[in-house]
Amino acid sequence: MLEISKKVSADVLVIGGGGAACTAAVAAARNGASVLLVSKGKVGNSGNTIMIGGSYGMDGESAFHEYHIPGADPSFTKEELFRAIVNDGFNISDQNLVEQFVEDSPRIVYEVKEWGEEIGERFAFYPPSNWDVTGRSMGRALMNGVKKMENVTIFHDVIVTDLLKSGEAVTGALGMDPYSGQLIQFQAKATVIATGGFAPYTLKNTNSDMTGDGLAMAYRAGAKLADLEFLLFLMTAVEPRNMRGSILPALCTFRSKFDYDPVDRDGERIKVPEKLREMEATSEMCKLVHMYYFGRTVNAGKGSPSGGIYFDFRRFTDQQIDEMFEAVMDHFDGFYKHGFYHGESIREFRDLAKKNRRIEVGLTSEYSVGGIFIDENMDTGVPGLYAAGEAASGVFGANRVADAVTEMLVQGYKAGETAARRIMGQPMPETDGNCVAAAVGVLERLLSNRDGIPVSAAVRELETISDTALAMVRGEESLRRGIQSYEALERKLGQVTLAGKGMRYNRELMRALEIRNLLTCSKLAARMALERRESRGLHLREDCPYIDNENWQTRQLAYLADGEDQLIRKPPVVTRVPPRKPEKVDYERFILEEDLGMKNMEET
Amino acid sequence: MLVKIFRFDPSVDCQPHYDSYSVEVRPEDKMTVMELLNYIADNLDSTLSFFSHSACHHGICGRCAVKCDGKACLACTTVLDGEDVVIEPLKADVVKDLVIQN
Repeated sequence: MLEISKKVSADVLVIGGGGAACTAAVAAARNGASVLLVSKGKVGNSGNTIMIGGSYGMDGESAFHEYHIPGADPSFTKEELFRAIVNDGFNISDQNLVEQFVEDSPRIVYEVKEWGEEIGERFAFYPPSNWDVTGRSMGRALMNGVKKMENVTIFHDVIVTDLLKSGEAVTGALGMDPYSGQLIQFQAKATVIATGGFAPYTLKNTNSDMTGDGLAMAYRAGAKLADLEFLLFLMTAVEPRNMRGSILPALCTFRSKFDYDPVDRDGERIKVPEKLREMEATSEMCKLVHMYYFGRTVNAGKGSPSGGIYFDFRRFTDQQIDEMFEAVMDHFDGFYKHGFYHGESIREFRDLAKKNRRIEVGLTSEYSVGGIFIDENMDTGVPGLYAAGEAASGVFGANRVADAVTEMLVQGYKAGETAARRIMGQPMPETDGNCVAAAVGVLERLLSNRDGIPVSAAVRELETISDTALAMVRGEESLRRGIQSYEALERKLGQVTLAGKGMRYNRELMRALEIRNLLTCSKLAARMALERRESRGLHLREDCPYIDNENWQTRQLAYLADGEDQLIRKPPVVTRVPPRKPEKVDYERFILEEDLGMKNMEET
Repeated sequence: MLVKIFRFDPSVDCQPHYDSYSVEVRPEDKMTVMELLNYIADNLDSTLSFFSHSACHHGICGRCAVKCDGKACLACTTVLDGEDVVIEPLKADVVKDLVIQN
């Protein structure tokens, strides 16, 4: 029998350790709440926040007029930012959330920069109104902001396993300290989920804690999940093997001096229209372009062994290759040791390019656009439960081009503010004892299961199913088979068996908890992808190569009813940018002819 | 290559011991210590504990440090050369196996 070792309570519980969690904690504390900030890793040194390889920003008007940033370009107006988010999101953004993003972001974006600069972190401005920053700098800046608050109590390295409730309302969560194995019951009047997204594939470029924990526990607690079929792929290293998972290949392509020929397994050049190739140096829209063109190559059976493509350098001289990589290294100078991107040696990558003239590059998801359904107050609709950042959904519709870093900060802040204001004067709720027992029971069952599949096999199986079912380009048959496989895995997961039964850093137990959450997200993503018989944003269907604005200019939501997944459609909130004409449009023609691709990259 | 790993669960064991695993690694594979630990845990001994609950895998978070042949290193960025290796926790105050509370 496992027992609760400790009970802790406060007005607001914030779950997560990155940008959304830290700003939520600060905002809640500023609004008079006592706050528990509970992170699976170290606050400010965990989650996808520290994986940041790029920038964040605000609109140019605010940067120029309100914050007097030298070099800011006021012609990048709030209106333009709003329009670009909705257009690049293929018209299914919740425009109330877009409004919140645009209106509220300047203040928190600027403040976080100040938190960072105060402790000597580098935030390098570039027009129209963005700052380049590393993940660690962002993490340290956030931690500096949190430390200014007296009434925030931090719990580093506590894995939240389930939300706890009383009736319909969320009243806290159950946490497990992985080092001691001790269980902690958190009690709060309001809870904010800021735990990031989910990455279900074999190849990963995210922090290891992107297992959809917050999404799945919110879903179990009665929240709706939305837009899960939209996963943003990014070119990711598979060789040299020690760099596997690094996004350095994508970041190379973002430099205008960098060039390569994309080729398939037979060395055939993959044709990408010049207008779209040019986006590599101007807009994050290029990620979608890569998915569309390279995804179709992979689907045609012409991908590399890792399900990616190759960068071919045969038409370049050694000197030209040196110059390209010099530009990449120059870009990162001042952020990392010269010649490095995070822990990866850019020189080693360059030398491989020169030696083999061809580098295999994988593609995998760096960001889940979908997540917990929220309104513009970050309210999930479940009493006492709020969500923000990558864990939430809605602002970016079917495709994200604007900054996820801005999203996490602006939504986190709002969630903390709303949560604190709404609970003002309320008494501390009781948690239903049965609910606690059920959450503890999940752990006990995992420890007592016998004769089932090992955790590592379950993880491998989930990743393999996802690689095919939730591929860059999807199809009816592979999605159907994928859903069946996920369901079969779900049954097996009931008996998943751990070899180690102790509670001290039981890695199998931690992974078993994660895989349960990741499976919930992946299965729902596949179900939404199957339903959506069109291509839109990051959801590409080989059997439906058109955007169906007649039937599918809409979001999809999932919720649990009597233990069964229910899918419904919900038209997006429209306030300023009108919907598209109700007609079918060829996907490729649309991305070629429409004015897409917010220009948010540094010109070099 | 032969991989010798420090094992200790202070809640059960009186004293630490070492387990040895034979894994085929060629220097040109450029396998990292983290990959090796994952390989061993997935295929040879799932009870092995090493830092993995919030790991960046790219030398960012700095939390997966272990000792390889007595020298401190990050498991995620340290590349194996195919020679036998001894992997131990960074400090004496062990939570379990290679995990310390850092």
